Amino acid sequence: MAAPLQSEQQEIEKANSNTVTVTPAEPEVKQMIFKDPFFNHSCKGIATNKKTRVWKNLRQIIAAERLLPWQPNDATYSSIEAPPSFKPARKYSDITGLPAKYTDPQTKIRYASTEEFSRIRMLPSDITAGYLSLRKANIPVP
Amino acid sequence: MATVVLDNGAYTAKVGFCADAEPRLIPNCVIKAKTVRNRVFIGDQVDDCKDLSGLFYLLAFQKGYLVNGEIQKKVWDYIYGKDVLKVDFNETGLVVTEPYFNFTSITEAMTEIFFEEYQFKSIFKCNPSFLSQFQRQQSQSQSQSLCCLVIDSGYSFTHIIPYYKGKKITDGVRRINIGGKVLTNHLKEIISYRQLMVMDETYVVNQMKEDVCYVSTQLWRDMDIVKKKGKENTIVRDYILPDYTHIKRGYIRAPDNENADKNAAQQVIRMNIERFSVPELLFHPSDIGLEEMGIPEAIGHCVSSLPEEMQPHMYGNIVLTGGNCLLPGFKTRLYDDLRALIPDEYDLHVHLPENAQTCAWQGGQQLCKDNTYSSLCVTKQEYDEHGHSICGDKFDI
Repeated sequence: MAAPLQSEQQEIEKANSNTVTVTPAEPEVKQMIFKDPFFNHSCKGIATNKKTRVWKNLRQIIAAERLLPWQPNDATYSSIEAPPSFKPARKYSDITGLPAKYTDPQTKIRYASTEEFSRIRMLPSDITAGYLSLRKANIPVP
Repeated sequence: MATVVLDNGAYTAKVGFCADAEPRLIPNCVIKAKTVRNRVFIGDQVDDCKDLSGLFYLLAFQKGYLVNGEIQKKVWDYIYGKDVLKVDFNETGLVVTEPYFNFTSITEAMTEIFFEEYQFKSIFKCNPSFLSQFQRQQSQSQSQSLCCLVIDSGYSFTHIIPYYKGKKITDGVRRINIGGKVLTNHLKEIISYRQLMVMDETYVVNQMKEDVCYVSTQLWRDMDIVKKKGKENTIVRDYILPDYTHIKRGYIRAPDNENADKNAAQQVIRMNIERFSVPELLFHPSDIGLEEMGIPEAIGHCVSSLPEEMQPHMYGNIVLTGGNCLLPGFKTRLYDDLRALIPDEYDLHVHLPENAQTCAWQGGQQLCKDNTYSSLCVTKQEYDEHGHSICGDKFDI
């Protein structure tokens, strides 16, 4: 009976000594076994400058963002744009910038006075198209 | 530990150590000059250039978002390098601003560059308006308001961002696609059609815009004045364009010596209605066919989407930031338009900081002196351990 008791005690002592030695070593246990302590990331050191990053242009980025699974109420780049105004757009003369009462039915250019009107009729068509494009009104009506 | 504060605007980067009194304003672009073929100018190196006509800009930002990393890298290398800040990266923290709703791919690329290529010790990222409202909250120490509405009108667009207890209310943010770039381009176009071809002179026209444009506080009265001739017209100004031989910078001709300069061969642009009709776009984007609300209406739209209890407090604490707010009359006009728009019983307070352009930078400076700063930023160790996810958790972009 004595021999097994001794061996049991030894085992317990062993176990105790194990636990004693384990506690200080606990931080080392957290050191994950699959992590190589000497690992050096490829981006560090001389290779850094050689790394080429792909930059997508804005249209690609926006298109990619649209495809993400957004909820209808999520705020995104596309959803925060201010909505159209409730007030009607003001009309200014394309020639001088003054408030315009009239629109030339032929060229669709807005004008404020008779002098302007006489000038409009002398303008070549590429200039009138240019004036309209300043206020994004040059979309040809089909 | 030293900290660099970088308000990385699409057109101007505001940068400096947090111990500095003022930030340095550095154009966030690489510039090519027509006359100087053998070199490019990075950032404020353009000051060395004698002939600023026909400058060609290479911008890192497109519509307000970082899309060209190579150009941005050149500017950053210059900023951190020996010519400007002389940053010791391993011992330096960084506060950097990002555009609103920045796309994940761009944010991650930026973080990677800062941590892995420059190896900063720690980083804090936020929107510029966060720093502006932080600066505002710090300055009104006795009666801190819980709500703050920031109007950030920059180079690429204008944002309206509501803050509650220093947190951005994402659902309330509104964007108007009008910024300083649109204004300059529009001015360039109308001058080219009405007077003189200046389509290639972005730099000169931008200077002209900053010198003569203003926000009209009484639009219809000003419209009447510009129709008048001679002495009665108090708005018209003659702007002398630089020729870069005798005149190094454009200027407004003094009204009384109109005849004295006339014989000299100067190129003059007569700025009349253009002075206020261009900044008017901020208030009425529909003037150039852009179907969006102007700033005051969009503010109303933004605030009405918030909880009702919050609304009066938002109107009571509006902060202006961004370069466009430097236009004379901006604050008064915004106040007048908003006052007409919102209920009479609400208090309205519009605050224009001392320098709206550098306001966010000043906020960043105060933030890194604040005790909470160390808990806000992400350190290099944390980044190495957790990667991008910790940045996504800690930063409110």
